[in-house]
Amino acid sequence: MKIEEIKELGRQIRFECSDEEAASIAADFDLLEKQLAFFEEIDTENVEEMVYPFDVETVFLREDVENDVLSREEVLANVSRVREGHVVVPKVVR
Amino acid sequence: MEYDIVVGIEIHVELKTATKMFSGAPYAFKKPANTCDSVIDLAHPGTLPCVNKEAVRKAIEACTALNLEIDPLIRFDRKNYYYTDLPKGYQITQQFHPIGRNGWVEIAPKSGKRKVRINRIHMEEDTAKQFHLHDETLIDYNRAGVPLVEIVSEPDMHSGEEAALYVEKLRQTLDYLDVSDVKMEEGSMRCDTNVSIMPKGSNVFGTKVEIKNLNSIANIAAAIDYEAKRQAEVLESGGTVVQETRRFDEKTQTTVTMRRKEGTVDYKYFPEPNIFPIRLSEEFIKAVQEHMPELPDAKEKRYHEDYPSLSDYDISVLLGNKEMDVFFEETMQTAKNAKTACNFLATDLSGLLAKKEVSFAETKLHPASLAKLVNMIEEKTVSTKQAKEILELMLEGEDPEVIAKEKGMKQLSDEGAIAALVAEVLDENPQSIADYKNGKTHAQGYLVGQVMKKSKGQANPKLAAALVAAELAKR
Repeated sequence: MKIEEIKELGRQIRFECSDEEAASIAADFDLLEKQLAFFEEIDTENVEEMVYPFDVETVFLREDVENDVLSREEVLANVSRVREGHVVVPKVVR
Repeated sequence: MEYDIVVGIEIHVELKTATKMFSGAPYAFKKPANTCDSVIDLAHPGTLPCVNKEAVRKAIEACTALNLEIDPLIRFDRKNYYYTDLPKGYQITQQFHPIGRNGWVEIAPKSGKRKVRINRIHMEEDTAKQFHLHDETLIDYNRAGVPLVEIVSEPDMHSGEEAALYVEKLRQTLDYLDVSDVKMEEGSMRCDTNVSIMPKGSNVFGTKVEIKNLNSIANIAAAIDYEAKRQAEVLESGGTVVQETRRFDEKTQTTVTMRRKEGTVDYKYFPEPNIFPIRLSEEFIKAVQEHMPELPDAKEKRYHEDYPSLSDYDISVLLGNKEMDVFFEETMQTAKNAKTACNFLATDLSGLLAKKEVSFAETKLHPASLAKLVNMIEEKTVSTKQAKEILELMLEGEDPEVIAKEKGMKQLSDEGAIAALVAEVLDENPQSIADYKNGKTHAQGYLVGQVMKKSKGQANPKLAAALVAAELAKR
């Protein structure tokens, strides 16, 4: 992957990354792509794609009954910035 | 040049369930922030979604009422995008296999009744609510995971009027089904429209513009009419319509650019591997369909048959407000005149309640009491004018008969008693009789007025007028 491509992906998910960070990620991807290349040796001609491990239908639907609700303290336990019970994040829209 | 307007509408409706689409967390509008969440809604690692049976039931009801074919095999897909309103990084939706396809509703614009086709209805989950401040954003995850259905029309509407009628028809239908709160101002029903224009008679669609943030049915009509005019002006001046998202500005009644497309977003849809396909049995679907409430169209027909005194307009007013309609039906359990009941509800009581900011469901006035009042007019024990005064005093839950007695408001309909008053009045006013005989017909009105005065306003005015006329003829 080129550094420009990494930066473009970063832009799409609204993460800013410096040239050094992009270069480091690109190096990781190099390794990953080499490993993925091994898969290309497998013949997948006429093999149908699989979504579920078992090809079965189910019938279960959950009853509309309240359960396992978190308290606000639990919801916000891992949040670094809180205001009036809300999670605070940087604004990314104009 | 003349243009045809082409409008397609996507509507998101929050389903009225106790818990969310895939978790047991509750949801209610205006709860304190981040108090309606479970680990599933917040996408904690290792958690798995579990489909809400009631949400499926409500989706089936919506599909049935809007004439869609139901797919009994429920399947979900992932729509991938990265944003803070979506903890998982994807939304679970039904991209490839919507629960309903190929439906329609009938609308009645001025140009005559016609069908608007519905392409699909699919189930999905809502996103978190965000509040954008000056340089930061606040997030409330209460809404994340709330069950939604998205209803997608075909581009079958050709004016603001038709679009407004279509949305009102859906709103009314879903309201009567109790599938959703359908409150556009609270966001439980949200409407996005696509508008384009093409030269009259052409079959090549123009570039479409999406309009968001339409929070009332009146705004939908206004926004579409404005946008079509704007596009025509762009083309007439030699320009081209740009594909973009605009929003309606209520103050200026215009549409303004919100964002231009920065290339199309690839949502990388794929089947949701965490939810196996769910087969709905025929019995399950049938049981849901057989227990559906009466729909507005059927009700309209029934009202025409049961209450021939009601006009098309009266019925449309009743059906346009479910709470008022429920009140009407309860009133008609004992009321003897549908037209009088409808008039009281649609004009007098609506006005009084609006002034007090109380709804039909909240008022202390009981439908049985309104029925009593309607019957008092019917039996001529009070006049319509007196009944209106009584109605105002009934808002705190008092009985109309008690009020009438306390205020001495009884209509005098005893012919003998009124005739006696008429005789008295005529005896006292020989000059008026002479005037009347000399062609001054207004003298008759004066005499009726005197009779009403003598009866302290309680004489039945029609009867008094008839008796004055009869007595004048005799003398």
